[in-house]
Amino acid sequence: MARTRPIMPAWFHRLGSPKGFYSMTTPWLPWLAAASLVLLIGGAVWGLGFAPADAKQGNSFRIIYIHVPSAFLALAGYYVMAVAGAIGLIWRMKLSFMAMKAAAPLGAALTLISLVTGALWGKPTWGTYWVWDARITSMLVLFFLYLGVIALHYAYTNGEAAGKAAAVLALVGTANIPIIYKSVDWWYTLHQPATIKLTEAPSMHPSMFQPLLVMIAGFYCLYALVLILNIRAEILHRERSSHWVVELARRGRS
Amino acid sequence: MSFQFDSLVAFYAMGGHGPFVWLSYLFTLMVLVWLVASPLLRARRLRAALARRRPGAGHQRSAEEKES
Repeated sequence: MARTRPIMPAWFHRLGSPKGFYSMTTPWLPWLAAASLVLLIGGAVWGLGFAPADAKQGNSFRIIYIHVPSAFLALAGYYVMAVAGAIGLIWRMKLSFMAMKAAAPLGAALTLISLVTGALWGKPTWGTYWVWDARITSMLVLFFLYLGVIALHYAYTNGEAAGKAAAVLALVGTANIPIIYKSVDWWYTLHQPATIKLTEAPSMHPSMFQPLLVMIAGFYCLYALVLILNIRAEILHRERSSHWVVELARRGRS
Repeated sequence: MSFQFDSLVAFYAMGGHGPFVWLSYLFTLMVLVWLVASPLLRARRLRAALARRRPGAGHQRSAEEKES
């Protein structure tokens, strides 16, 4: 299926080959690491100590600065995983199945963070750690979808077959994403409606909203960093018999 | 923009919400550290296994390379 597509620019092909991706991303890593560190620490200090407390919820509201960004990235990360799976199925790009596999544990971890912080926020606010309402239950389904993709990779010894099966599951699971987004509008729920909407002004005061934006940016940078690190480790594993990987290991440096 | 708490003790207590807030941030920190550390450790393990392999040994797989 290796059709030549001269319409695509050269960087696309570099990005599509494991070796090209590996060498291309090496210089990005320190920048992504520095950006995530600065944004996450800065945003956390701002949100914990300097943003005003919520008039109704008091200081428990400060959990929003990790709850919303992690839920945000857990959802966006599902698209990353499903789109990577679709590209792998359609164009048989080696790297896209690796990206799909790399996105699964990352998304699962972020979903877990949003569920745990949501429970810890729910106790002082609603009086309970957990309710089986639409938003929370659909997030739990998202967590299991991520676990399913991880489990499928363990179930097959053949990487190609695992990729295909996991991609199909990931694509079917995208049906859950609009349900999560809309759950707070469609069903009566304890969960408050979305804080950030693209079409409307934020419902928060700027002094509370700005640190949230910083934290979201930080989570985005960290997501990109971990996704790339996961893909690079996967490349080393799958390309272990190719010459350039053996050379790389002998030289001992990245 | 100023510090919202009168004292460090008040900052830890968070008006009674301290345990919930700090546990949330601690849990998040642990998961994020694990997320960054695990691919780095895996890559190091894979490279060490490859570097140990004799030149020309071909496709002999060591225990480390068989992981996942």
